[in-house]
Amino acid sequence: MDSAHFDSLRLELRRGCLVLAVLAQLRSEHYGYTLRKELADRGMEIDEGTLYPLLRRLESQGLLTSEWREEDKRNKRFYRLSAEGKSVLKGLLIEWQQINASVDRIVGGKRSVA
Amino acid sequence: MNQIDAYLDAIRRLLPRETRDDVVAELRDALLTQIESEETERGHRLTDAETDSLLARFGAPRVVAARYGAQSYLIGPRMYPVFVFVAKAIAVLIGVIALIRIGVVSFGAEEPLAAAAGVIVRALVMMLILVAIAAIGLARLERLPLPPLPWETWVPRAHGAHGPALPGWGRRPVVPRSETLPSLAWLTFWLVWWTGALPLGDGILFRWLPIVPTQIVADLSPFVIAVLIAGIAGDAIALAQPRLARLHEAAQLVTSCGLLALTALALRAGTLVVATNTAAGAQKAASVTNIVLIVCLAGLALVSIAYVVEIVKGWIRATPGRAGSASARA
Repeated sequence: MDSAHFDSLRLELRRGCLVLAVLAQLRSEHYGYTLRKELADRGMEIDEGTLYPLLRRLESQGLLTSEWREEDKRNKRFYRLSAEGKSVLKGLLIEWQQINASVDRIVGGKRSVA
Repeated sequence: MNQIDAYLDAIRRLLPRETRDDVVAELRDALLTQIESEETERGHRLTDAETDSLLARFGAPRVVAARYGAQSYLIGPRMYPVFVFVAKAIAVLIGVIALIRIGVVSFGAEEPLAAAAGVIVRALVMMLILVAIAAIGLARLERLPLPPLPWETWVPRAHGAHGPALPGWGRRPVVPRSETLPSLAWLTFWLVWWTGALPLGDGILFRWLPIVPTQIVADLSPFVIAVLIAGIAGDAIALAQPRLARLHEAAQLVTSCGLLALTALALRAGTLVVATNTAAGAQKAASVTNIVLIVCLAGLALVSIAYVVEIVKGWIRATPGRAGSASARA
């Protein structure tokens, strides 16, 4: 297996799930560091250079709200899902379950043929 | 300035002015939190090497800034196909002009190879300049909120498997009046201007600048008028009978070939206007006007070549043999 190809495809596959994971995790309030840590603890590693621009993009799309607040003697930016974000997340979760089921059927079908 | 400050400063300089402070403040907090966490884990303050390694993991400043949506490309997906088309057209235009010039300057020259080499070098420089101008223009267009462009919409039955041709040319059952009317008005304006019915040329150009047209302009005048009349006739017929698309294309072909021939003759002459006196200002005005006219002629020739190529390609695609083989393949 070509490892470069595999890595690039794996990255592409994971990238599609990141938005869903971030939105789902932000049902409760987090700042960047704790969000990243919680995602990593649940098996969804994401590097800082990807997470922070993604948060900003989701906020500019109206899916997140944010506020600067002091914690541990330092100003931190806290993110939370907006009302629109909640509705989008709901739709995305349904879509995700459908994709999952479809892929399961396809992969299962292939296995039975093999 | 410590490593963190230097790193954040490098990112700050690459970010849009309106968001940079906010983004950098957030990144600073993220980095400091990460450092504190690693220091707690390791039980000591991070060394410079360890901090460098952490910053490297965070990403190169240019990469991090680019992820914040700073448009880090010159020509993006909207304008790239146009850029490729224009670049190819420039290459063809300059190539054709260079070949003509090589023929002209080499014939009877004492050192034909040196003369030809000079033409090739000038042609390459001109090609680079025109491609650079096209890139700058298209980069600007890329950043404008343009509505969907003709080649970005696709109607399968109307356009076939390959989508619409680049600026919407190709075989059409009818010639739209929205195309013939402006073209007719444009060509008529130029004919009226060229024949002197509108004293715009003398009034605008030659009254204020100490320059006069050279003999070549007078010599080419009948050909210019003939080309303009051919174009006007084609447009007038298409306006009256929009279904005569093939005839309109034939007229466009004649006009385009005529423009190409005129451009070649004008470029061969080299000088289209001269100064009326020997003052440095007049000489400069003449040379700048000559450059501007030559660039305009080059642009005109570019469009002409594009038209000729598209029309001929459309005719080749429409020939019965080709249509048959295409349907056989389908």
